[in-house]
Amino acid sequence: MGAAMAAAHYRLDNLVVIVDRNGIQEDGPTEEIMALEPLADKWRAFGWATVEVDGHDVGELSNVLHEVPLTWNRPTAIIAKTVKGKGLSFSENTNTWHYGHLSADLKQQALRELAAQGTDGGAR
Amino acid sequence: MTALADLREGLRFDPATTTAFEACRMAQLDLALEDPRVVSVEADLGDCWGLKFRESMPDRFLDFGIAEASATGAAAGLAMSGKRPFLNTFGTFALMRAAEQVRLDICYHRAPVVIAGMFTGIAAGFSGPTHHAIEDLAVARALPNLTVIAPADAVQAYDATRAAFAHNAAVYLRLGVEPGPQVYDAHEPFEVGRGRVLRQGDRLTIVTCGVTIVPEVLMAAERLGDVEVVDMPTIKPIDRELLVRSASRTGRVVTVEEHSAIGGLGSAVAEVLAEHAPVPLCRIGLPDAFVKEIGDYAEQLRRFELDAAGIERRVRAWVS
Repeated sequence: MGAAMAAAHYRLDNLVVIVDRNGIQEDGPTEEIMALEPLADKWRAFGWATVEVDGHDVGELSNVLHEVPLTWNRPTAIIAKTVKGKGLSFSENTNTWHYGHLSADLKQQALRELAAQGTDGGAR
Repeated sequence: MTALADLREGLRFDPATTTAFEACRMAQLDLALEDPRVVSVEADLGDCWGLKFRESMPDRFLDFGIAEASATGAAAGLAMSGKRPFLNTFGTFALMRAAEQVRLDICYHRAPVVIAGMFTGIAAGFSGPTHHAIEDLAVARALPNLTVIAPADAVQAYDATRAAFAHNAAVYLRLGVEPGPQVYDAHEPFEVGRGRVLRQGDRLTIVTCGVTIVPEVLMAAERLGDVEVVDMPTIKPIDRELLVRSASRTGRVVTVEEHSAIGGLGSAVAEVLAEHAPVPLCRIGLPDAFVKEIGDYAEQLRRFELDAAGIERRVRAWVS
């Protein structure tokens, strides 16, 4: 909060924060454990130009980044809506993947699942 | 079946999997059943063995999310208004991220909060230096009104948790996270401020504390021969009388801890010996550096010579 206030106070309009908003923390959904919403309004109230995007759409993210600053004299907050552990059956939307590591077996499974989807996991 | 029965069954049948932190959680649950003032204050680690508490006493389980300063302030406030909170979180985040709240909200007000610190030392091997707690004892020892306890195993962790609660003061419990070998066979009343001679010897005294490390020291002592091993679970206030007695008899002291060699058990022992029984002292701990290597806990202990073989090597090198 202190940093968010300082960035707006000093009009750091070349500063961008991307919030990975996957909605899940270790103990469960954020809105059940410690609610963050309305998150965009909180950033706006701190003086940040704020937009929400699909965090898995790199094109959309890229477009926003090319338009920065969205408002002169204001820092930019991009709330990237994402899915925790996206694309893998064992990790998607699973709170224990807050601290998960890939074992050798899970790594192989992950590679198989990604190959079956015909995707490299979104890394372009 | 009570939680204590669960724990004892667990210890009897599967000591290899019961951790000190789990034992501490079980003690909290037992105490909560006995005393309606007990509440569990969480910072998004409820799923690390806190679920049973949440299920059975949801209105006494308060999760503040990933916000340790907020959780610590709330725990202090709860204690000041007559509750008996246990603050369950990472040792490093309690004593470093929320150091100001521990100092001013808990210690300054003598708020009887028991801080149950997990993932202490380098047990959070895969999470890296952000999650290690290798300076927590140094911070905790310097805070007025804070009692500091590092149990040696799950059995002692259970007893120490009950003793910390009965102590009715601010206490930091240092609990590690991995299951370690058992040191104590049976539950016994834990006396805050008292060390225990685990093994008698005449040529050297090894003073140690904490899960995993105490059993490694005992194994090293077997190979070293005629050495005394003192378990010093209460680091503050330290058992000065026992230290002076043992050091005066053996004439040499080694300290072993999973903490920076600066500011922890070794420093506490050095302070006592320098003033009351000056004898040669060797402090074995972690180097004055961030542990940047990522890896499995056992591998980390070997790397830093805190396993039995490493401790034996370091003691022999110092003695010769």
